[in-house]
Amino acid sequence: MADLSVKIAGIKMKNPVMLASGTCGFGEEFSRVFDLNLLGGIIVKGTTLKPRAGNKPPRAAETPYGMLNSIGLQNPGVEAVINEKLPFLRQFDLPVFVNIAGNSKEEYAELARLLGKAKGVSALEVNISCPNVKHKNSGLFCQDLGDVYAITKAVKRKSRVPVFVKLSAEVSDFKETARAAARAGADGLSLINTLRGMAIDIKTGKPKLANVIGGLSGPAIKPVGIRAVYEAFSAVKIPIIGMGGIASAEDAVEYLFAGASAVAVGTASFYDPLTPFKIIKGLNKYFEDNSFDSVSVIRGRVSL
Amino acid sequence: MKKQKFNINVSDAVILSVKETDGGYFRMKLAAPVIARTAKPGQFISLKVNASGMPLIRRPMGIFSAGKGCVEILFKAAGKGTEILSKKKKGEIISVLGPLGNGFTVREGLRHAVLVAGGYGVSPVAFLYRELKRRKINTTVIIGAKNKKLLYKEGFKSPKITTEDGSRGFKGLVTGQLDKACAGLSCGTSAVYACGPVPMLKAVAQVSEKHGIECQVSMESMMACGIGVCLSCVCSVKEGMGTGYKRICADGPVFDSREIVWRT
Repeated sequence: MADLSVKIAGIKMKNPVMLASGTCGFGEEFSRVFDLNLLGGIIVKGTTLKPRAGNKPPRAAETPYGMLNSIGLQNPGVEAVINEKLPFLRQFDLPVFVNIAGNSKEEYAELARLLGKAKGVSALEVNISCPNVKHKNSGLFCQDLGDVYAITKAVKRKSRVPVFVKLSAEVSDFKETARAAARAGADGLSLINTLRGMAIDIKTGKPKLANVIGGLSGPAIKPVGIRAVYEAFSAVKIPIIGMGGIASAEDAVEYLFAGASAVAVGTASFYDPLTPFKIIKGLNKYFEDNSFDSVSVIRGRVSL
Repeated sequence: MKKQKFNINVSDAVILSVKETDGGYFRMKLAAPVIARTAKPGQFISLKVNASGMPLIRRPMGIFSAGKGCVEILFKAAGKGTEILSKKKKGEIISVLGPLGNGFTVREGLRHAVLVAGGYGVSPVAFLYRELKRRKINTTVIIGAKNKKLLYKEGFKSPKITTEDGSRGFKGLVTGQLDKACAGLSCGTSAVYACGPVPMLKAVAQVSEKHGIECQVSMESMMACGIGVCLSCVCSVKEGMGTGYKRICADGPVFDSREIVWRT
């Protein structure tokens, strides 16, 4: 067995394979399918200060090699997450990253303060790239370098655990965005969030999503994720969790070459819940076959 | 930590048979012993119709029968996924996830059940029908279809048939027959179980409520995960003084009709 263990921002993980936020709830459902202890880590559903009902259905549509979603951050709110969801996850030997989303830097800071005090939180993932909630310019927070800096700084000031910033690839200068987060003290980056897309039902002429626009995920977006990780790796020194279309060990290796220290599986676990384990097994084989000692041997080593 | 309970299974199943049957439906039998052991009426399975590639997302299918190591589904080739499914051959392998969802509740003391099936909704209703027969509960079955060509009635003993064009049985909608079937039933010991298109479910719920009889409706939706993590397949429900969303896959697909906020 190859040694797949990794340490990112001081957090030890058995292997670099995590579940991506928004695709694994708070772990309860997948715990009925497989042993969560075998994962490298879990990034739980986007958590807001108040409970959120989410957007009107239909909320998802299948697209070529991917899907669109406009869930709209449906979650029970930070209090219920702390009191009802985290105790369940504490039963497992599993680093837990909590994804947080707010409408202002003050809300992000308050979430960081509350979750920083909670037991069983290994890190925060700051979601400033959700395509399904409205912000001031109806764009994404991460499209404004000032917001990236200010929100990251505000969270860092309150958080007692490492802070990862989740970005979208839909920004004009990705390297600058990554640098803004790093300058504000981010301990790591999560790349990438879904890309905004749209689909229309040609029988009715109506959008397939009630929210009209949604976030595209799945294998279709993998090359965009690889590009984002590659660019960020050259721009900042902090570790990167790569995500976007990962469905196999080969995809995970590609992200590692681009510069990721760990990877997260999202949409693929919808259609095959055992994807994370197939990836772990495949990574073992790949590292053994190539006699690589550790993940760091290939991290960012794409040869140009 | 407490012992973990893995009660949702994902495995590669061998297709034992695919048959075209009544009303243009296909019946597919799968060797899925783990799912067959625990599946109950109203639950569903989710199939990856192509091992890789398109369509990417699994297709949810109501369980038609389960037992002796096998699970059966009944479906129509209505879209890309079911089209591919209908062309599968005996001996092929398909990934099955299940059993999923809550299933119908058959309360202690139930004496009379009225089952209402519309279109594809006949599949879970057939499974429930056999279970009620086994438990010797008095059962009335009402099956509705647009016309006689789209009708599936195999396995039901003297069902009340309704077709919208009158080409078989009573002309009209299922609600007329349901109204008659409910009259005279005692509310405390009767229940209506329905599966079919949403407008039918809404109408069935209204008739049942008028008679004061409990009504369980099985809802359907496009689903991305089938197990409750993606939050795609929600429906509106009453929650306290207002409304909220519940997941059709994990909180349903069967709901007490009084809980649903109907949208038309």
